[in-house]
Amino acid sequence: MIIQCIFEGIVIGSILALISMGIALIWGVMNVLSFSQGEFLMIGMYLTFFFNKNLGLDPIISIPFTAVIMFALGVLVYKTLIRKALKGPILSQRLITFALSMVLVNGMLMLVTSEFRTIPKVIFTGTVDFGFLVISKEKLVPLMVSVLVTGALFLFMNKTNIGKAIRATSLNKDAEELVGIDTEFSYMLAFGIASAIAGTAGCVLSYYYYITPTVGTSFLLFGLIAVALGGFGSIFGAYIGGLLMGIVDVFAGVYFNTAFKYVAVCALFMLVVSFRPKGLFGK
Amino acid sequence: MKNYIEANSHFIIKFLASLLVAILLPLFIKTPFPLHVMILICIWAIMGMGWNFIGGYAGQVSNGHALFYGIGAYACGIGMKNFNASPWITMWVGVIISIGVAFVLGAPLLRLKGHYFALATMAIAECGRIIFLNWNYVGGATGVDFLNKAEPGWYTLQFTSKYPYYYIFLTFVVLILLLTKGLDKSKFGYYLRAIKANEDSAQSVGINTSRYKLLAFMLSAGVVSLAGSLYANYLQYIDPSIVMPLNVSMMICLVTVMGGIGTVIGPVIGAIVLTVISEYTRATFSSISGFDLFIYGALIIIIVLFLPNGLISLFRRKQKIRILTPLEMEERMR
Amino acid sequence: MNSILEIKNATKKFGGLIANDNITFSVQEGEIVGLVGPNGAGKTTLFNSVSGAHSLTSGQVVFNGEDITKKKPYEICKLGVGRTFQIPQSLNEMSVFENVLVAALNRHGSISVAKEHTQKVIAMCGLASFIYMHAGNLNVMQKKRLEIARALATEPKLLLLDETMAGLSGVERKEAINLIQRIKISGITILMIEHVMEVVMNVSDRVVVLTSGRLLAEGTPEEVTQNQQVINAYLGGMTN
Repeated sequence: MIIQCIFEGIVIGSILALISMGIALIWGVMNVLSFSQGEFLMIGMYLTFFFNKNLGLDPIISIPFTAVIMFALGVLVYKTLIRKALKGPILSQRLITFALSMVLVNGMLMLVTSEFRTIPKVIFTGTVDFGFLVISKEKLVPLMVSVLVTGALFLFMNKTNIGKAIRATSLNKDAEELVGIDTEFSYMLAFGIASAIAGTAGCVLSYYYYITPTVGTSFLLFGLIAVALGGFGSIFGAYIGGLLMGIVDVFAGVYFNTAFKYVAVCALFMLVVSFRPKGLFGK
Repeated sequence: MKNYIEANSHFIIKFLASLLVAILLPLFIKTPFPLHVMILICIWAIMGMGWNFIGGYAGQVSNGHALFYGIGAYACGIGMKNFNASPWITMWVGVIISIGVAFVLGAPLLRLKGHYFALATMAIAECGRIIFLNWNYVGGATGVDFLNKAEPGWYTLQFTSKYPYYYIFLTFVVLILLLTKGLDKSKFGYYLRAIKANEDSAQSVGINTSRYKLLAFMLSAGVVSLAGSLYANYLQYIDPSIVMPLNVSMMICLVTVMGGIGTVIGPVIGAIVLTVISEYTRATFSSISGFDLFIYGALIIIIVLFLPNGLISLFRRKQKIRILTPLEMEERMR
Repeated sequence: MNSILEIKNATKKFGGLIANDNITFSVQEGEIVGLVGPNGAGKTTLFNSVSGAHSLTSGQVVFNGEDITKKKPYEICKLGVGRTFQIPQSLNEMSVFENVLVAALNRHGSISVAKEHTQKVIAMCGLASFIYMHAGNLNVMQKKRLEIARALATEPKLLLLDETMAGLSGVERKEAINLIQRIKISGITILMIEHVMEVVMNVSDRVVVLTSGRLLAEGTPEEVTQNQQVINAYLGGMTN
């Protein structure tokens, strides 16, 4: 039972981790707390749904398409809103992302109604039974994809020149402009990547989760807390924070009461920040 | 006293003029809807002014003030339904509970900075919402319906007409506005602004920053709780999804930011604009589900994007970089 | 004369790094003491320990007979220690007047009394023409002046000045020296970190030399400049 819980927790956690990495990236690079990340996840889910319905693509196959579209959407949002918002106070930036999420949720509501949808047929179904652990294959997919995406992001940020430039931007904005790194470009890229990751999370989440315009909100809350738990601007911390959050979520749901999983998650968060006010891996 | 009036003549004239308008305006209104909007403006103005103490003056941006709003609302709801207690008493019970909760939570929360403080307050408020949602004594998800048809009147603070609500709420707005005005240029106000500007620096000139932040947090919790109580009595029905969602927490910030953060009348301006937009888009576009909030969100984005320092910056001439001439200097230093 | 500030065996470690190593000296009431030493000698660290920005790893700070080692910055300020920051920490969104007013409220509960006091301090520091300007719009010299004004407005008995002369031109420096002397006349003891040797030697009654976190020498400016160790460690390095 405990092993089963840990597994389920890691599955949910790996989705949360994807969202929270995006939030951590935006937070770390441009010091904005993005409330629209959950909505990018939701849009990713709908893209996957329509790819599946109209073109018959399996969610896994639609990942690259969704990711590209979401990247473009992220860049568009950055160019039209965030770039201008960055000149204003920090709170205005946060409120703009919040209002954006409102626009996206309700825009989607107008387009597709609030009907709950699921993706009927997927490639991987059925379960694997190890005796002590029953794994449903639908849930294995998010886990694998999450690990792959995280690995890819890690390599990108640490090994490529563009990734290094983005990381450098997050360390010191003024100094970067002196040595000629284009902060503008880094910001745009970071925002695009963050929404692409959220879109990917949406793809794999739609493997076993229902789709509705407000689905992003609860994931966003957990994602935000996971980032704060992991620590300022630390992408790795955000990943661990996400996993931890998922495990606590499932344990609280199974052993106490489903409703109180929020409380358990918040309690964990408060406990961590009381001892480490900047999160587990924050400096 | 005379000096004070002279120094603030601008404010006093504007204040009295707008008060007159606010008092007389309902007399020209024949339909209930505009009055409903004006009542909501009062509620949001109180909330914005309450949040402004901690978020605006002290610069500690809380995204969880819905918790105190909810506490205030439930204090009146439960008080009326279970004990038949007058809201005039229970609203102060709510204020005391909110201040107490703020006192207990303030110590760990206010050590956090920036985004961390925002996230922690948000998480706490969500916890509060979940607890109320699953607490049978307060009605859980079904909420509290405490409409008392038998005896509307001053004791129950329930009226069949909207006018009494409006004037009662307006009184609260005026009182809290005057409180803010009084604190604006007081030691308390200057200390909070110093904390917002630079905490280390504030400490170095003898300000007990944690104490003043806690005081501001408690004050703002109390005022927001009061708004919750008034709203509950107006609506006569509350449940956690009405009074405690994340949206309320964010809207409280938005009211203040849109009007002018850290200013006396900013929250009131913000409340007027935001409520008018919100209620009229709802009334106009509600035929298609989602369309009203879509427009509302888009308008918020546009206003915040183009006026990041609030609507008040439209009325205020830009602070000039000004060096006094020797003559002016002499005059000033006398 | 009484010692107003006694630093006893002050040691401060940051992880493995020893920033202050067993430093002991005292400041007498009414004098100006210069604290000098090469970069990284631990001068600002020592200031932060005295003003309470962080606490010592071991050792003791006694101000006016009271142990302030474990006290918070605002408590220490209330007791009568004013400080400036090496990098000016003015309240940028507030006007110059308000900056000083906030500090003046330290001793005066009433706004109107505090305002009168603020005007005196502003006049003394030569900031009167700038009172309506936002502190963020001041230039470096004006910001350093404002730092001193803010510290003075708290009505300290002891003033800690952290490099208030760095980056000032000759004329500005003369004005600043003049200000420091006037502060001394008003009865305030001064402990100042200074890199500009000319200032230290002219103004200070005594000089304390730190190097690599340790106390190297202590004495009148003449004694210190003739100390061979000091010449090797610090002054020698400068003339090269």
